[in-house]
Amino acid sequence: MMAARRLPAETAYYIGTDVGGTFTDCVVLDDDGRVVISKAPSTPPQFGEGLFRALAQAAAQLHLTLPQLLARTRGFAHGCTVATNALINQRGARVGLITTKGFEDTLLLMRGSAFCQGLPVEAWYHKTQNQRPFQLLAPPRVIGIAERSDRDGEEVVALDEAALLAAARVLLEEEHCEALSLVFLWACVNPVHEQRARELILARYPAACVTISSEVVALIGEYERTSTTVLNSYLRPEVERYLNALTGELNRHELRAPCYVMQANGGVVPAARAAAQAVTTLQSGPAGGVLAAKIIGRLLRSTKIITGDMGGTSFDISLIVDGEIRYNTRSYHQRHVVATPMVDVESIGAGGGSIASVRDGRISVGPQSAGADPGPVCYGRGGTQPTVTDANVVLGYLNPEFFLGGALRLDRAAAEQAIASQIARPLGCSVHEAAAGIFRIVNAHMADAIRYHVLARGYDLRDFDLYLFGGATGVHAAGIGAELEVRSIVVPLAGLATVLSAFGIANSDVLRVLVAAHATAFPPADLSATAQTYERLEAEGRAELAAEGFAANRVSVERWANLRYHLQLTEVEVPLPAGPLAPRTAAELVRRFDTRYAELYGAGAGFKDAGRDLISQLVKVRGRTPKGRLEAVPLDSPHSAYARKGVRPLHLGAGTVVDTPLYDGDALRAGNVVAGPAVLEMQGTTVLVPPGYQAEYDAYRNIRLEPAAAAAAPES
Amino acid sequence: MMKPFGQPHPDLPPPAVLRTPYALRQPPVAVDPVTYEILRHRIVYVGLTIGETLKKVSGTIVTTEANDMSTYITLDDGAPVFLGPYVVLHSGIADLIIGNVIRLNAEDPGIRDGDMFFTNDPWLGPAHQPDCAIVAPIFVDDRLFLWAGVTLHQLDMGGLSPGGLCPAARDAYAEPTLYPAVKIVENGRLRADIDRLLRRNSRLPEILALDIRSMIAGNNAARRDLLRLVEQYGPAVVQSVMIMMQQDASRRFQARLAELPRGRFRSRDWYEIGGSAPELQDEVYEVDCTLTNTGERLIFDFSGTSKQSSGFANCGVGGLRGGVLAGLLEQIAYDIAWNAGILVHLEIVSQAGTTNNPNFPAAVSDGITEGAIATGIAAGGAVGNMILAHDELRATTIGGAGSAFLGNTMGGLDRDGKFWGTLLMDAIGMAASGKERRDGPDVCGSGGIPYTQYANVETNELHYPFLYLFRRRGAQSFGHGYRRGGCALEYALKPHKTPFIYLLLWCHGAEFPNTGGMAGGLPPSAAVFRLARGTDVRARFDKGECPSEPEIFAWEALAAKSESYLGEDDIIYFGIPGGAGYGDPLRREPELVVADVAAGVIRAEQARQIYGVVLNARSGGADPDASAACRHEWRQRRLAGARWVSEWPQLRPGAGNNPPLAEASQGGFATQPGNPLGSPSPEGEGSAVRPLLRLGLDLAVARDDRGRCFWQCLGCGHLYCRVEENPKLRAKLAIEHLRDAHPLAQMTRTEAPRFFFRRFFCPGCGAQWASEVARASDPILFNWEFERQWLASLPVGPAGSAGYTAR
Repeated sequence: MMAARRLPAETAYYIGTDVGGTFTDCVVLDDDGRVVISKAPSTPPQFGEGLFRALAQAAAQLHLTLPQLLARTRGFAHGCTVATNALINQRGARVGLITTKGFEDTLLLMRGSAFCQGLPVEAWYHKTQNQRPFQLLAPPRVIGIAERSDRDGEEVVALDEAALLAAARVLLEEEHCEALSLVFLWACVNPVHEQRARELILARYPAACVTISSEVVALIGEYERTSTTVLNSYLRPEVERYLNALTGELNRHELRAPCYVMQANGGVVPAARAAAQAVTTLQSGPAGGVLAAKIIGRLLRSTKIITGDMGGTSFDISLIVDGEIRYNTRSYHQRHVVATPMVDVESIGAGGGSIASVRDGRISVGPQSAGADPGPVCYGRGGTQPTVTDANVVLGYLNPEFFLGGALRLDRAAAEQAIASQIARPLGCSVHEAAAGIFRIVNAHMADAIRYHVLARGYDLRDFDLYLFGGATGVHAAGIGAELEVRSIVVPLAGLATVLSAFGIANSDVLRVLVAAHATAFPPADLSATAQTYERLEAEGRAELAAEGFAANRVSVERWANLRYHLQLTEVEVPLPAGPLAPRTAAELVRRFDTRYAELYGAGAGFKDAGRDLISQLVKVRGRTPKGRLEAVPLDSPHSAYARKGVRPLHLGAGTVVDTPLYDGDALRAGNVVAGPAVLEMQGTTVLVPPGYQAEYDAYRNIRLEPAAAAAAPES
Repeated sequence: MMKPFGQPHPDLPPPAVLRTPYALRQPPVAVDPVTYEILRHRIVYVGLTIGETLKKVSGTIVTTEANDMSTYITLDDGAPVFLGPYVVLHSGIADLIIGNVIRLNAEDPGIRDGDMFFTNDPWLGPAHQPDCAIVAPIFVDDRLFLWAGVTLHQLDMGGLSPGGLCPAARDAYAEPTLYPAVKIVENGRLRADIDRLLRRNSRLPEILALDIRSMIAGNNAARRDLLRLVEQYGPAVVQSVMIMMQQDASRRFQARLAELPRGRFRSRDWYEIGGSAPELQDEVYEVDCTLTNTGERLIFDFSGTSKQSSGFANCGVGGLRGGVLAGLLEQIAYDIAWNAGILVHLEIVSQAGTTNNPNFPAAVSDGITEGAIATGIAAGGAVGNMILAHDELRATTIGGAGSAFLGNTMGGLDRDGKFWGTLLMDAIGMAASGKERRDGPDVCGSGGIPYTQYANVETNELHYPFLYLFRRRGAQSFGHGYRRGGCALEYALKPHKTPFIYLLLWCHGAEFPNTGGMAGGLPPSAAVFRLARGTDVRARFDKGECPSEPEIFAWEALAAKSESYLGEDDIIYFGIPGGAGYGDPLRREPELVVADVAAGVIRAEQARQIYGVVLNARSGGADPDASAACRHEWRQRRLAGARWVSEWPQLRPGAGNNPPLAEASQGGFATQPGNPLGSPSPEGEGSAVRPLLRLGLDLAVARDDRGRCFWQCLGCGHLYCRVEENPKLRAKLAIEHLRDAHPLAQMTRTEAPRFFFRRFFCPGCGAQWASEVARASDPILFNWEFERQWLASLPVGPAGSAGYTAR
């Protein structure tokens, strides 16, 4: 972290902020590659308070007042957890749903999977003990009306406008719904009924908050579309209130640049548009982290990356393949499905708060977590069950006096006591053996989850670099990596590891994905309709960005097609070749699809004889936002002793206690190398360099952890 | 004449015991707890990777949407280490398949590194021929070390009917081709000749080819990951961990058995119609299950099960095994790893030549939906009767018996003239029965298939030329009770932009509900198939109507196995049976009844007629005084209308062969003058009894100071008889038409019903504590026969209080 010494009046700043459940992070970059970070406790449900505290801190580091900083800010991007928080606490809006008559139960029934959906596979075994997810809306607030289209988008039954208005009246006036969702069968192909219905409702109730499914997610599959649409309605008023207040406050503090809001698809939208797409702000924090990894990967010329973010309760895994983030059109939030494309993040129950226990002489770690409250025993906030963090303290990996830069003093004796009585005694081993066991197990579990994530998606671990970040990860990075045959282990942007999401958010572009759903064999005899759809979507997207003030030269457009083999359900998204859609480009598109499918699922996995279906057409319109830059700095010598700040005895497995040097990780410079065993302590995180490993700071101050032997070997 | 329960057929070979051919081994080396946990977790993830790989490569509806598959890892002898959380009916057979593959191939052609074996032969494991398994031996240091395997339902393996379920088949030769454990992969390569053979015998060769490759890919993924594990930790450690996983499961399962009541628990199920031949239309097949818990083992005795059908409604022995596991695992082993550690505690007793253990070459292609599911319901019912005496397990689990699967084959020509065909998996939208602390959930899927998911309406309409009129909870589908059953799915559709649709039904349970209510709960609907011909539905569309109220149309009920052609104005309706009720509906808390009325789950008149709750016309709440009076009146009317068992002519005591009756008679107990069976027993009168055990809400076992145990009514203290005797024989009994229990409980043969509904009441207070669906001549089942020593070991509670809440 570097504070700017000179402040020319014209210095322009770019700010990324990420409000998480526990902390609010802020990253300020400038044109010269300088970075300032700040962190403040989050203040739910009034998240704005914590945010402004973090902003003020950052301003202070730059010797500016907050209005001075904001006035010079050219890019402001914000990741908020308001939607996630509202969903977790079940404090969303009272939603009413109007849908096609005869299909009122679609949302409730969840296609029959209510007792397993959104739970890890291991939990399927005890389905009989599981519960449904909480219900977003209850049956009296679902009303079916007559209207129907078929798969070709042809009207089968006309929209019953009188019944529609009657339903709206009941929902708004009698049921006092704060938001309405309209979801009609096949609206993804023909949205006319939905659009007309919204028009009628808004004419009668101009203030009504109405979401129609064809605008939120134009995807075939009414259950997922309903769930996404209703979630959007559920979250929209809360997100709207929050963003209105926030932008008002930012403007009062002299921010003149537009405020962008992070979305789970890895792009940002102007705050004014964000509420209408509230559902896409779910999981935007993790998306920011993945986006940061992508940016760093580009600098390091790494195209296949596994990202791992270990927090207090969960470990989030995602992949970057060929330099691109992987998306998922089925993500689960409090077990509700969302079908808008989101960064494909898999979360497992392994974190600093994961609880260790012994039953029948068998030790297990997680998935139960002590969370942040009461948290690990060593937090001294009432936690009684030993956790991973407790083990790390007992082993000496974490400094009780320097946790979160000293913000929280850890009670090592209490942690030791808990592990001794609950783990070591029943297993008949020493407290340090028990703690080392917890450490090894959680590392192995995270490695298993990574391996599963990668293999299940058809990739090979050996092609990937492993980027590990998040406050709790540094201690485990080498341990996780050692279990996996990855190319390298990187703790990206030392010093920024705990605010990486905010960094990613600060570096994101406006992304608008326009989708038209289909149900046609591809290529069709006549391509003109398909071509026209692309033209229409592109024109719409360009017009939107132009309206947001993007000059044409800052806008780029990609056209994609989502295809699958007839009778197979796995969809693959492929980019269209340049130029207008013609028989030749269509043939090339098919070839790309076949190739990509074979790459992902193996040669011969595609059922080519059945033909291919076009499931959706996508146009991705990107508006390049102004942003700061990371600059490589010249490498210093490997020499690192200057940053040594002491020695601590560490338990490094097999009863070995080693007096291990401690380093001020924030002081180490590019090019420095630290041989293990060593501990690098930074403001927000701690990196353990085990014996046999070394840590090397690269030109961007990424920490590369590698076996010392491999590092010494000549490049081959 | 009474059809005896549980009695072997004298003209068939005596029942044989099927148990695992392996025992649990000792780990070759000691493994520390941390290494154990690391490897255990890793092995589970390897197992899960098989399923994921399979789905990615196959991508067909069967794997990706319906999870109609199973995956497994076993030791060299076939003892499972890991069973995937998919279709238990499939995974239960892993060891059978591998055992048979070893038996048939060890000598010739031999089992070598790089081989895989294919089978769909129901005499070697699978329940019916469309279920195909590929198993892969994994070698370490030239020694057979492990097996990995996959079983997957195939859309077509040949046979008389598309889809492979062949109602016209009279033997296996008319059904999908059998492949008895053939080597499909040799030295790491798919054998072209076998591949050709398989494809040649399928109507959908491309999909079959794809699925075969996906199964091979799944096994290869397991081999790759397991060998890496062996490389990292050495074979001895890996094997030790696997054995320890089995030992853990065994220890936990045994602990579970030890906390469950010991004794014998009985249940049965039926299915109608053996195939399309005229003489099979009147057939009813019975599956009897007597479950014995010894505290260490569970013995599922299927003696008494009907002889094999001459139609296609039998199932392979794998269906018998799979059915037992489907009825068992989710109910009592949901928190224990599913592997050989559980299987070694199970014994199955069955007579060769019966419908779920038929002799070759019986037709078996409908096996999974007939024999196997009926086995699951009978076994699950017996387990349900066992856990009825367990305070926790009877309270919350949503597992249990399940119901009939609305099996169907649909097909025809699409708008472009192409042939299409499918199995509409909406049928998986089943519900669960009520449990003591929880109403049965709506549409939660089939028992024995943890993750179930049916396709979207839009996905189905995208692929096939029909239009749904509605798909939703079947409001009438559930059974009533103190805790009511869940609603299952109902849906109706019509051909759209196509001249016709061919529909073949292969189901059962249209004549009677397969799920009985526990502890006095009422049954749900039967399987409902209805067809409305020549409707004005298109005119209604044009008028702007979505006709989603079934009563608009005139329906004819279809038999559970039947064939139809639908035209554009015809509508087919499917109603899946809901969950059954639990406990006497008159005990349901009035506020819950009021809430059900408010939510539209029941109507106000049902509140009064079924639940005895009178609503206050003004407030809509329950009128406490009127409700109490109403409930009292219902109980009185029950007693007035019911008779002693001996007073029902078709149930003459001693008729048929009811073992509990026979035992009671041997003890001289039942024959005392003035104490005929089926009337009150004076014995025990006046003795001070204290409760030991509660079964459901109203029935308890109580012990007197002389150590004698009696059945007792919890509500009024009435003593039925000694615990060794069937308390149902000492109850007041009402026999009704099924439609009195549920308006949709009988959809076919209504003019000449064969099945009836029996309610058992406490003679003292009129509480309804048991019910049965049965034919007129079926014996009254003795569901709970406790082991004497086990009862003697139980501590008594203080009089009137005890370990249960008397209401």
